[in-house]
Amino acid sequence: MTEFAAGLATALQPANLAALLGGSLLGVFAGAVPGLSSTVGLALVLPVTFALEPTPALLMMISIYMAAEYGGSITAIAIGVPGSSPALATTFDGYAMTRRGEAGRAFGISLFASMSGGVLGTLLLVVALGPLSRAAIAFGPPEYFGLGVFGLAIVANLMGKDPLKGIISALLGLVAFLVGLDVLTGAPRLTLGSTTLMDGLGLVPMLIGFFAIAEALDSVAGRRSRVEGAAGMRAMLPRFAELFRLWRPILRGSAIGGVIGAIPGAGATIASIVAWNEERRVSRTPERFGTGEPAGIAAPEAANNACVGAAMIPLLALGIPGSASAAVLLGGLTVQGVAPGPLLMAEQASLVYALYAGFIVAVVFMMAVGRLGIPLWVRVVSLRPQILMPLVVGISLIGAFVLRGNLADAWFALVFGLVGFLMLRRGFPLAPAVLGLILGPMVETNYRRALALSSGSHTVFLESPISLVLLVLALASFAAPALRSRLRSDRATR
Amino acid sequence: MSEPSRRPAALVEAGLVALVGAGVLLDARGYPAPLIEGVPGPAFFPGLVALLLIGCAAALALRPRPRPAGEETPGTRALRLVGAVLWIAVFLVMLPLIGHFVALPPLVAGLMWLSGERSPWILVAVSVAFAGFVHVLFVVTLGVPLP
Repeated sequence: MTEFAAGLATALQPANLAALLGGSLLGVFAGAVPGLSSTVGLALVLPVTFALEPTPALLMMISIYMAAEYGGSITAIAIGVPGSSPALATTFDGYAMTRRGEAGRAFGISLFASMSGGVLGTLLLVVALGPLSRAAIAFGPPEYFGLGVFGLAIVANLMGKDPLKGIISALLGLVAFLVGLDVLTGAPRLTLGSTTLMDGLGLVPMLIGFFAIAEALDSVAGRRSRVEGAAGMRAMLPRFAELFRLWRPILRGSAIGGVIGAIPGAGATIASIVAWNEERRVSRTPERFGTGEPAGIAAPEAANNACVGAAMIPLLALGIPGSASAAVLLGGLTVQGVAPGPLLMAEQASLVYALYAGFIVAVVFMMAVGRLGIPLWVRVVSLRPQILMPLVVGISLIGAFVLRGNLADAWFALVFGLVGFLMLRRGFPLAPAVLGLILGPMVETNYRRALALSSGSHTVFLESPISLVLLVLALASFAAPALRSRLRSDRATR
Repeated sequence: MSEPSRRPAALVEAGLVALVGAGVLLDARGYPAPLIEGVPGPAFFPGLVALLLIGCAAALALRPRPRPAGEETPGTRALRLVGAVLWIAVFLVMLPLIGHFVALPPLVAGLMWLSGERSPWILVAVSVAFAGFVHVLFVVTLGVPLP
């Protein structure tokens, strides 16, 4: 406790507070702009941190990481375009609430859930640094395969009214992930002989194409109308009692984010989608999910912010970055002469406690920046679509370019936009395709790795208890919607 | 009750899905063999996905479909759509040649016009202000080199 108080005193020093505030502002921005993300935000600020002392440099980076996870929800709720991939699940209910004229309420729920998730993820980091880091490295190829299949089973809940088209959409997402070099053998697949396609199509161009450009084309086609009653949304911020009622989804989302975030390579996107799906599964009114259900915002937002603290567990304890953002953070730590690993706590305990406290202060700054920004986001929502959507396209295309400094990504975004628009027009849901692109690599690579390790024996997936449980859960998750609708129709016929 | 009609559009979309599946299957034929016997190689997963796609396409083509009540896109809307896609493509071609500061205003103004905005003041002011915003934010503040 004394060490934590000392860490808090360090974090509250003026230079460190300024670093945390600057990081929060940049993080919210990086998260909110489609194409940018916490990783890009961290990479942009990395050269700036070289000139800083280790503590403010690292505090600035963790506050960017934390705030960017929240920032992604802003555009997800305002215009239905996830600012970064972890906010994908937030679009399902967040944008539906905006269309209902409840943007202020949705922004408030997202901010509160992000704050709660951030705090709970930090507590997990403090309490479970040792044991969870050991559990995280117990994840091998069979367990990752199980996790990927479990994630893919969520497609069953995203299929909309036409399950066949939902499955086709997920398969098309899997085809999109196949483009590029095979991770295990280096063989080019579906590249049509093009060197540009060898890098793959990428998630960000797909997100920008499907959610920004397809929506803009919808607007050009005159099918998108202005959100009515936006001016009154400011008064519709959620009351504390309503936020408090969401404690269960927030706790569940934080727990899911805490566990998945600590597994290297799993990441906040998977955590938030799993959290949304679990919330829908346990709900008494699952049919409300996707139509503007507050718990459908609270759970994924808590999950993706809980991932931030959790991703630090393997990073600090073992030196293993659990995500791309954590990898940039590792770079920042190394530049500052901090060597993460089992000896970190023994050698630089004061810095670690300052980081713990810094996470809490970063959450407070994120809350302040987010709260002050809500009126601005609400104004953005109330812009006419013929003005708003071209601006979204402009900034999204620039964002697509900035990510890898490659104009090909902006072209991919345009192609995805056209395909997404046509899919929407023909009743194919887009979310399963995104899920296919995200989870395809995890499923295929780990399936082949596991079989290579077991000399081709499929029992390897059943011998691991974690993999077995995840596969059973996947089966249950996939079958649940069909069983539920069967039970309902049986009851109705009786 | 009359037999539900099968719309040609549904057959076209089933054909496109099958075409994607067949393309993946064809491409997968050229992938290297598995490195270890009994362990799937790079062609296994694409082949599986392709076969599932072809199966789904068959199901899509064969299922009876009632004619949906939704309206068709009028010709002018389709033209606007094609115009918007081409306009974005022109922007992407011109971006490396003339730079973001010059290329962004016509992109934004053009899309706004195609979306129905007709006020010249709004078209000019919003598009130029947006290009300035992007420049200040990315180039000046964040130091990101844009074309």
